[in-house]
Order: sequence, then C-alpha cells, then structure tokens
Amino acid sequence: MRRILLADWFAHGHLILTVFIAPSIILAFLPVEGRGAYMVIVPFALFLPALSLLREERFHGWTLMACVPQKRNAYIRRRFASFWVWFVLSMAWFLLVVSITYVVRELPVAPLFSWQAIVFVVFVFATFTGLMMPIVYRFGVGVAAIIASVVVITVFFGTGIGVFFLTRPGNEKGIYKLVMLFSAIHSFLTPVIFMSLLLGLVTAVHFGGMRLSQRIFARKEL
Amino acid sequence: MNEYILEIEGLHKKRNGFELKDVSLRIPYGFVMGMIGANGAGKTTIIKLILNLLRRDSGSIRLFGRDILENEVEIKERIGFVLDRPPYYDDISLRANARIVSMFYRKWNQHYFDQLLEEFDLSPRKKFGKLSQGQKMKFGLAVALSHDADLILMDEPTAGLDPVFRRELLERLGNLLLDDKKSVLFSTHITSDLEKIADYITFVHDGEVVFSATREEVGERWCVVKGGRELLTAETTALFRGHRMSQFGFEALCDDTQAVRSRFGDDVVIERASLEDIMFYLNKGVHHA
Repeated sequence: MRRILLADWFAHGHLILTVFIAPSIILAFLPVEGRGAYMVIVPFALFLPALSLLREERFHGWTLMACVPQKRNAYIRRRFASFWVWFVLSMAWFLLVVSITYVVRELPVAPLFSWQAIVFVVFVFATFTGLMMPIVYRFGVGVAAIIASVVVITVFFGTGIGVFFLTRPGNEKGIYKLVMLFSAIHSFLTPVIFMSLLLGLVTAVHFGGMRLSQRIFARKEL
Repeated sequence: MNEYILEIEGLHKKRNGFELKDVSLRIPYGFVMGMIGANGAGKTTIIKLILNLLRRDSGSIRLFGRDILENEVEIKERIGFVLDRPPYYDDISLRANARIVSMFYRKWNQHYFDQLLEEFDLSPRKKFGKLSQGQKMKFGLAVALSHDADLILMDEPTAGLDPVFRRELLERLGNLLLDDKKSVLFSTHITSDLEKIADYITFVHDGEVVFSATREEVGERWCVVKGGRELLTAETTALFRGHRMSQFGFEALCDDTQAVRSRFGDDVVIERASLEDIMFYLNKGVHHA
C-alpha cells in the first residue's frame, strides 16, 4: 500500500513533468525557427512513454479498480492526490521560472534560466521520477530511499562543492566560470537531449503502437 | 424480492469483428450456472459485460433486480469475482493486496480471509507475482469469498488447476450454496466441472447462447443419433444441429429427442448427449440451422 502510494508520487510527477511542463517550457523558450520541429517531436516523444506508464496495468491495477466497488473510494482519492499536488506545484514552479527569467534577463546568471537550463532541469526530474516509480514499486520503499538519497546527495553536494570552489573569495571570476560551465553543459546537452527525444519518439511509437494494438487496457480485451 | 439474482435480456455487443448476439439468461437465487463454450465463443465477454468492464451496445443486465449501470457500486459490493487472469498487483504481498481490496468492501471479513489463506496453504507474505496459476486462483477465490458476496462470478476458474484443487474448489462452491441466497456463475470449457456442480448450463457458441437450461433439461432434450448413411437425407438432416460421417454411417447431434424418436423409431441408436458431444458437434461437425 505504502509502496503503491509512493510509486504514484513518482509516476504522477513523471507524467506531469513530461506531459505538461516540458513541452510548454520548450515551446515558450524556443527560437521561432526551431519551433515547428520541436512542436511535433517533443509532445509526442514525451507524451507516449508517460501515458504508457500511467496505463501500466500491473502498476495501476486498472482491471482490479474496475472490478471493485470504487466510487469516490478513499484508496482512489489517496492515489490521485499526488497527481494534483504535482500539477499545482509544477504550474507554480513554471510560473516562477518564467517570472524569474524576465527579471534576471540582464544579469550574469541569466544562462542559469535559459530554456536549455530549464529543459535540463525538467529532464533530470522527469527522468528521476520516471526511474524511481518502477524502483519503488518493484523493490520497495527502503531500496528506493537509498537510491534517492545517493542521487540527491550527489547532485546537491556536487553542485554545492562546485559552486563553493568557483565562487570562493579571491576568485572573483568564479561566477563567470560557473556560467561558462553551465553553458558548456548546455552545449553538450542540447544535442544529447535532441537525440534522446528522437530515440524517445522511435521507442514511443514502437511501444505505443504495440500497446494500442493490444487495446492498452485490460478491460478492452475480449 | 426478485426471483433471479441475475437476469440478462437481449444483450448485444459488437467489437473487433466479434459479435455477441441477443444473449439472454437467468440465474435464480441459490443456484450455480455453468457457462460453457469453446475459446473465443464469448464467455469472457459476457462476464466482463456483467461486471461492467465493457459497455454493452444494447440489452439489459439486472443483478439483484437492479441495473448495474445505475447501481454499480451497490451491486459490486455484492459480487465476488475470480478472473482467468487475476488482476492483483504482482510485486506486492498477498497481505498488501488484500489490504487494498478490503478497503472497497464494507463487509470484508479479515478473519475469514486469513483462515482461507491458511486452508489454501498460501503465505500472506508471498508476492502475488510469485504464485503459480493455481495459487493465484486460490487467492482470487479467497478474496471473492471474504466479503460475503451474494453472487460469485468466475471466468475459467479451474483452468490450470491440478485435479485435487479443482475438486476442492468445486466442493467449496457447493458449500457456499448451503446458503440458499447465494449464486455462482462460472465459465469453463471443462465439461466435467459442470457435471459436478452446475444446476443450470448455458452453452455459448460463436457469440450466441445455444441453450440455457437446467442440467436435467439439457439431458432430456439433447441426444446423439447414430444410424446408417441411407437414413441421412435432406429432410432428416434438418432435424440435426450437426453431424459427421463415419465408416459405418452417420452420427448426429439433435436438440429434440422426441422428434428423432418419432421420425426414426428403432432404425437408429439414440444416446443422451454429453456436454462434450454438444461442444464437439457444434464446433467440429457439419452445422445445420
């Protein structure tokens, strides 16, 4: 029970981040000439895997939920609460980022709020939540907590140490180095992200098509 | 109180090239109905329509005298289900699975559930996905029996079970009916299961109900006729539902023993048709309307 509810948090986080936030941010920040291709690729590439996660029979138990008397049941409410929490938080975060972007546009830290940076952050979180969902469901809360701790500690400490050394007193240009570092990461990540999207699209079309052909829901089977 | 626990009238469902046509059947309170038919005949579709897992195109399904579309939650409280592919969570324990399911039923009896798990030799700590097919069925049955359901719906419950547990399961269903308000509808293609416990038999073939009657009525009406080839004419063939030719003559299935007796007299051998005979001739024999 605990395991399923926690897995829901990650599944819904993954869904919201990929389906709603990432494409909207990408579309909002893309240069006009690149929009057309991204508009086609991004939503499809992100939407189908996320949708297939949500429709995963063995995780969600769609057939079971359809068989039991379940109108406004506490279990259903608890499971979908995480969806709305993610939705509200993500939208709030999105608005915050957009606001900050316009405020800090002229500051040296502006690249931190570039669309590439935002996409990068969204991708990291979307990937993280997407990976954690099956880990929690398959291996339980304990194992998932250890993995999550390692990831979070690594990311936070790594970033913290980097920022500390680059911006310590006497290293006046540290902040610029940090910006350069992020720019370099972005330059590297942009094609990687783009290739991932293409790969995601191919995978999504393949599995999505397979799933659709199997009627996706167990309840649709003969 | 309504006389029937389940009433289906003129049920239609069309999808993916398969059509369920004008299905009607009734189960009185306190009886077991076995639904038999070949794979793909439409048994699972009927059970899914009863559970409202599929939307019907037309017709009515009334459970406990009420339509499931209008009273789904109340009706499902009173239904226990065992599906051929039990829909529980693979990666969590039986206890955790039961805890989830129990939240949906007001009459959930945890003590009885624990007792059933012990009887079925199932460890509550074991993950559902690690169970064998037979054990999964046992778990499904334990869940179905633990919330005091009035109607148990089972889709191929005995498929994949060893003979010992098959008998145990059938006996348990028989015991359940000591309470004369409870009923069971189960689908199978194992004819001997029906002969053991079914009071009513519904035969489904190619999306249609061929018959739905008591076991005795089926035995009286349906027969296998054996006779010489010269007796098989266009006129006599019309009496049969299906036939096949053998080296020595013909064998045919008929659903009107009296008519055959009065037409042929002692020229043919008339035997009571088993369910297996009916299945065989309707599926493999030369069909007649």
